[in-house]
Amino acid sequence: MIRIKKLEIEGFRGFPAKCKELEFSKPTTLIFGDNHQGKSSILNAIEWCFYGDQCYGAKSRIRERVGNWEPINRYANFASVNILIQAEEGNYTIKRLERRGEGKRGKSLEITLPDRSSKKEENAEIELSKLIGLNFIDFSTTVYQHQETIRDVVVQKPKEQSEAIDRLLGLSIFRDIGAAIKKADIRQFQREMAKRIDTIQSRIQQTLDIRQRDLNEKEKEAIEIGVEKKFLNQKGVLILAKDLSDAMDNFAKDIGLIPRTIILPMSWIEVASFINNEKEELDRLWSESPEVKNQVSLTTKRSEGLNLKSEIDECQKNLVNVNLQIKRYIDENGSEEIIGDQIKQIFDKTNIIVDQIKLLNPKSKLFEEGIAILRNVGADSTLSICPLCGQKFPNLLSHLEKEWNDKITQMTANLHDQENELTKQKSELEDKKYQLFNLNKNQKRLEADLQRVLVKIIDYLGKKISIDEDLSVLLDNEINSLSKKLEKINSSIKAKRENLNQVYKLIEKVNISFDTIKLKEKINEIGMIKKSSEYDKLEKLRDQIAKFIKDIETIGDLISEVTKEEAKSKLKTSGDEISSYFKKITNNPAIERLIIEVREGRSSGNEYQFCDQDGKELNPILSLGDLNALALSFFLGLIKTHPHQINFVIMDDPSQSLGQEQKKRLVSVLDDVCGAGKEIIIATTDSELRNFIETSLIKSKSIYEVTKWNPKTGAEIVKIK
Amino acid sequence: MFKDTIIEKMEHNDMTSQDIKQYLDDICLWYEEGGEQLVTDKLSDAMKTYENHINDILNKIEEKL
Repeated sequence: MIRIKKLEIEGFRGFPAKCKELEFSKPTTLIFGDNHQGKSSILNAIEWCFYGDQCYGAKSRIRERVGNWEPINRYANFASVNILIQAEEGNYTIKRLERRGEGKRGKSLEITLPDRSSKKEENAEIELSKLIGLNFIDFSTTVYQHQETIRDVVVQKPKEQSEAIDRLLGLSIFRDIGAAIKKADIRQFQREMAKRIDTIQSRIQQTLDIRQRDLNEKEKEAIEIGVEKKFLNQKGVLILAKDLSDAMDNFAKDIGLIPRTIILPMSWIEVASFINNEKEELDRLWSESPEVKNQVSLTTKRSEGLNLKSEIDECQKNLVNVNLQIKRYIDENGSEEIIGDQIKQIFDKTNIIVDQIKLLNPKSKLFEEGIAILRNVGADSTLSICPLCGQKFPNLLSHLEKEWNDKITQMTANLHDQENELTKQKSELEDKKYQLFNLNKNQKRLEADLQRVLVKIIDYLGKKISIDEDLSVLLDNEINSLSKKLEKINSSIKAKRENLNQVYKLIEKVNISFDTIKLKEKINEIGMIKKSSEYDKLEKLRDQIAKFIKDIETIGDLISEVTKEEAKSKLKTSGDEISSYFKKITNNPAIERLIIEVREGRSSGNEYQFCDQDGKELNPILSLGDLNALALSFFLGLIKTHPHQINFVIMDDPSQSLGQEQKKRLVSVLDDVCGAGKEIIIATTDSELRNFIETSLIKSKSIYEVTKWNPKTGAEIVKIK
Repeated sequence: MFKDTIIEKMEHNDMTSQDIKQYLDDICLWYEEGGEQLVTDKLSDAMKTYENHINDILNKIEEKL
């Protein structure tokens, strides 16, 4: 049995400087203070001194310690916690230290044993582990009641509640590992892999079927082109290859060439390259055969001649057409010269009209000035008799002016009409002249083209041509001569081409025989896959995976079974105590007895149902205070009935949701726990609970007050009692 | 304690598989080193290793087709 006697903290969490030494000499030690005064830091310091790095981060399973939680205070360069432990064999001193920024090197642990000898680092960890006798997870759930344990029970969500109770029962590892195995979902992996293996197995069969169908078709094709079945094998294809080689030699002799040496295949696999070589050689022999060469040359020459013939015919035809067009045009519109004269005449006439228009303007001005003078001398009112005819005319001047204006306007309009008509005629003539110009231009271009073709023909004929010879006729003669020569050569080649086709047919036979063998070999190879070492490995792997999954699932099943059994077993021995504490704290008259039923959870861990003495489910009627009491009853009931070598419990803010009366009754339960020989270290902000502890707790107690905390110096710790 | 309890249960159920004991050892070690997540990761890794082996073989077979 071990108990804490003294605690010294410096630089840890809420304490940047060395704080007052805390003594734990009484059965109960109360640490009281407002929020954020460092109470939890004092309790955390005990845990950190015992477990170091294990007590924070994801593996700690404490939510508030995941993330930025670190032991060293932000204003301190190191954290140090010393604890004096009293055991039956004597006192132990544990000193854990961590220096900022030094990583692993900055972390140290020293333990001084009752015989005054000391151990450091790894040896100290081993010694400390033996002394405490509990791993961190068990310590943090069965010795240290964290605030979040109560919060999780109070939260009234079945999953969180069950998880918190599993942890209170010391089943965290069972629950965690069970959950980890389920989360890995290894069965899904197996299903995925089985699917892939099934797919490849059906692919093997499908490919085999396809290849067999290809083979049947290929064999049919082979027989259709005259390959006997006896040649559709590895020996047969070599015989056909030899036949092909002989046929090639004969063909070469026939066309007067010497074939290149192509080595006969020694095995069927060499037949593919043999076929390619023979094909290339056959193409070469044919293209280099003198008659074929001559045929190619004559064909090319004749083709050139025909092209030239076509060119000259085209040129001549076009030239005749354009000449005809020019003649017709001149007949209809006159020559370029005549049209030019006509344009000139129209130009002159236009000038005359323009001059006439110009003359009308001064006349008109003179008349207007005369009228103006007459008006100025008052003639407008006096002159009413025409001086020419003697007739009487009222407003004679105005009348004369209007008559003049009408006449001038009419004359000007007539002259403009004439001018426009002449301009139109001139434009039409200029268009005609331009069209004739274009026709002449085209004629010249065609004549130049014809000259070029004639030069080409002379070059093609390759001889001197006298001036009186018709090139077109000479070209026709040459083409006819070439056609005759070609006819002769073609009939000679025809017989040789038949031989060539025979050799090609033989190549095709060898090829199809080779393809047949290749397919047979492929089918054989695919058929062998199922007997291959890879396939064997695949089957073995499938078995290994199945066994692996079965083994892991067996572990998972064992964990579920044991988790349930352990919970049942613990509740069997602690159930009465838990029920009694629960009843004591809640004092609920309807609940005479709390019965806890354990079921295997749907995900991992157990599920718990709380019933009264009549088996009625309690969850729906439990208040937050009742649930807080339930968590405390579990924690304290288990401590009383499942003792371990740690003889103290740590409670952090246990009365979060308790009512005043419940707090009072909790103190009576704490008395009972102390009576069973356990020491209690309790931190609270709750002044009611403090008062009840001070006044109602029978067992002796120490009270520390933690106040006046500031970031640079930490809190002041005052021993009240 | 966890491991001992499970082994006790195995023995109680007449289970003698050394493989299961070995896996249990591994799982406990992973849990100590990295908690629940590491156990999940290691089991997934084991399956992925099998998966890679199988894929290698399937690719070889595929080449033969």
